[in-house]
Amino acid sequence: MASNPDLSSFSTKAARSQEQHRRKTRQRMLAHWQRLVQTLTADSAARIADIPAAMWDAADKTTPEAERAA
Amino acid sequence: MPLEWEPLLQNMSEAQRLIHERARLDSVDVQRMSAELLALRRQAFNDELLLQAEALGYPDQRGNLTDEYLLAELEAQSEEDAKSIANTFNYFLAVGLLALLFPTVKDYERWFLQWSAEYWAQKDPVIVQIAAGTAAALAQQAFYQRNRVGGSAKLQPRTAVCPVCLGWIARGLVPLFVALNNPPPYHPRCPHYWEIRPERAAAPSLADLWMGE
Repeated sequence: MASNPDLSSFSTKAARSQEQHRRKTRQRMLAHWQRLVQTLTADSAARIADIPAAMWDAADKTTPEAERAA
Repeated sequence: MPLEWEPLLQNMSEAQRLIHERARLDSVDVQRMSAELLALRRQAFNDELLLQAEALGYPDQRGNLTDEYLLAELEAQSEEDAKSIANTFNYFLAVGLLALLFPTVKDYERWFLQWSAEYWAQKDPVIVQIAAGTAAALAQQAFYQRNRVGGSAKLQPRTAVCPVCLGWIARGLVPLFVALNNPPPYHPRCPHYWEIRPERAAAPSLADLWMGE
């Protein structure tokens, strides 16, 4: 079932009207939520970019699985 | 059963663990998401009050949720959702990282931005629909209980794929108290709402109408 089913699947005029109103509400909500997610993503990406070169160079790049296989 | 991301860290290299630590959602992020979800739920709650007042014969009445008990309920739902959203994100981030062995931080940053965009594009509409649906259901319950109005209800839209939704659709018109005691959403991506047909004769006067205060 799609998140926004076809309006013809609502059996009354009142239900269709209410659904149209709720869709507008959800669109507004989605826009607000997406702005927050973009901020969180940018913050995470910035934290990755801020890893000091010395710390990255010192970090072992071998996974435990690869170590066992070797 | 919640996904557990911490055990996956044991299978990572130090470098992968470092990236996960920097990229994952932490308790501060959970608080930010929780606060945003509460604001969104409040908006959906107030909009649903407007729709139900209209169904009762009072158009253009704005909802104004200030009731502390109901706000606490919306806050609890939002906190729980935020924790779950962060936990799921951190789990799939770990799964994604485990499949990678990039040489540079820049490679990981580039991958993270791409992965994250695709991840949230899938999740955002579902998160919003759950927040909107749960808030609207609570608004319907509160509106008819506080205003002491009965009636009947029918699940809309009249199509479904899930057995629970199909069952309610097959029952047709149900007493309002039955509908309010069985609120949607019944599953993620559930598009259903109760279309309520209130007994207008039992409606309070406009001056006495409860609209969230």
